[in-house]
Amino acid sequence: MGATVTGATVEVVEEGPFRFRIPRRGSMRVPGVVFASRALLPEAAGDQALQQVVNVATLPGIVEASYAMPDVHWGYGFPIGGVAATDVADGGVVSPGGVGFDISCGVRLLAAPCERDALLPRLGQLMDVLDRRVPRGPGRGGVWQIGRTELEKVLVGGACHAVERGHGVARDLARCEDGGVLPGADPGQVGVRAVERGLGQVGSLGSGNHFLEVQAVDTVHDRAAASAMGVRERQVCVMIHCGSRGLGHQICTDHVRTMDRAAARYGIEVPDRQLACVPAGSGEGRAYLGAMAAAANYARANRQLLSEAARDAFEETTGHGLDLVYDISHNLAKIETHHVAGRAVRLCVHRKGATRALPPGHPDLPDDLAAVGQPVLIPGTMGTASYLLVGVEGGGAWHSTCHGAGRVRSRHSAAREVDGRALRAELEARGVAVRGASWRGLAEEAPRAYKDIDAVVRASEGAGLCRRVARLVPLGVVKG
Amino acid sequence: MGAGGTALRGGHCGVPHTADLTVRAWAPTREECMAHAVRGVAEAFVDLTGARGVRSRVVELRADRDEDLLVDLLEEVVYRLDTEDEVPVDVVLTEVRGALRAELLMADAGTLTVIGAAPKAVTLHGLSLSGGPEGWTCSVTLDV
Repeated sequence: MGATVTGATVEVVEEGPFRFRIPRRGSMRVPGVVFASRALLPEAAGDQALQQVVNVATLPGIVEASYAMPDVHWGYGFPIGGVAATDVADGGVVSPGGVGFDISCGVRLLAAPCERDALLPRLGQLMDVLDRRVPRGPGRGGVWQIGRTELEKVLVGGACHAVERGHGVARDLARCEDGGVLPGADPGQVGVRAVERGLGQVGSLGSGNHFLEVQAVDTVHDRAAASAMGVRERQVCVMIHCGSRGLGHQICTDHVRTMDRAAARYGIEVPDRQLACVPAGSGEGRAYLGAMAAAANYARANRQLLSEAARDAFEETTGHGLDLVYDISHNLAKIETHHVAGRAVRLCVHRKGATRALPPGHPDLPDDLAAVGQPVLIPGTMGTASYLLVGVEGGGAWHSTCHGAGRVRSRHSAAREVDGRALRAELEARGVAVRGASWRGLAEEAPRAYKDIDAVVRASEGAGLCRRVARLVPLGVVKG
Repeated sequence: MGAGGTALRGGHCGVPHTADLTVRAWAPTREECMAHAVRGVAEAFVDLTGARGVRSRVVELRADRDEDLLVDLLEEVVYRLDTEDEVPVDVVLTEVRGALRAELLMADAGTLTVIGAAPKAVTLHGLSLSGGPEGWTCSVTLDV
């Protein structure tokens, strides 16, 4: 059943529904495994996503396979939608490129105690208030102005510190991955420039594909899980997609540079400089993991502060509050224990554009979600749909699933083919209010630039990586 | 946008990449080629028509490889944008004492129209900067 992918030289073999194998060859240490339907396989001419899956398979210490999720697309170094685990005790590496520049970029979902029909008369007013209250676009600007001492506490304490300072409630933390703070942060490994970039951006969306959306629950697929998570049909929700801003990007930049120079000392050669890596247990590896955790905490505090801005806007225009459903990252490396060939092994699991999806009963889940599994938030394309999923027993790729729709067209070609004003008019005609930072920014994020989110989620579920809980549709978009 | 005080020759363009922004540039000299890359990056997210430089930033770049000099130069642009809200409208590059001196003439970002996603990091993926008898070319991909 082998088939050569159009426009690429990588052979993929269909192993079953929603699962393809890239046979091990050359310097690959493990095979590649792509979870996708045939239609979702990357095939655009010049798209190097599958070659990047092959490149990741050469990393020292990688175990089992170089995995790709159904939304995989061409990144730099790692593919976006890639998962790779290395055996820490066996010289397994950590690679900042396997986390991405936007460390702990992620999604949070909040639910309002009202239904869409009740909100619609005030939607325009709500969007105008969000437009004013949510900082976005290039450069400085955040809702929380802080100094260096406070920033250091954010880097160590994440969303916990933000809540301690009054920017949220204790219940929020129970609904954050890791309780809102990733342990092991080492602000001493965060460079001067990263700190300078981070100071002015706490509580800001940034630009690119980041957004804050007012959504409504369109379909509930799993009533019991939705109920446990606090979600029901027609309910109004807010989804926030953003990350660690300039601070995270600078940390990745700085540590890639360090590893690019250090790799030769460890006898490591990589096929792409952006894959620069060192053993996870080395000095450089531990330094990166400490800085990465600090950036992850910054990202979690950032989403906590944006939640507060959204809550204030809702309170002002509707009189309603917002309860946190969940907050989860899709760009991170974590030291996790998994069973490999029958024995428990400490792995450094890289998820770049992939989301952890813990099964029911996992000890890291909060008590009220232990019976259903970890909520997984999938931001869709502007104007289409987003999903609430849940982890399942036996989920593959170290309990990972997709993270979004996945780009098929470059920003460059999307901006050339789509007029931002026409796109906004089209969305408004369909009842989606749009508040964008720029016309071209809107055009770059046009739905046609992405894979079909419904198809990506069906493939993820079909591959046994997760289960659908609810589908959400946008009512209003604040675009970064 | 000048290089070494001369009128800038050559050109630049954006190239499709699903991840983010790839800029290619070409020019008779290394310095002009790098200056075109800076312009290509700035034009990708702000409209430079009528942009006015209000202050200059000088930085000395040192690297073993030419392509790493290009990364350092563009990282300076990203850093100044995030910390000072500045965008380069001109750059003069001069070789001095084994280093490359870059004088960036900056405009305030707030005075320019934003037309696209801002660059946040410079990648090493597919990075190149090389010269030959036909002149210099470079390719660089940025995270936006």
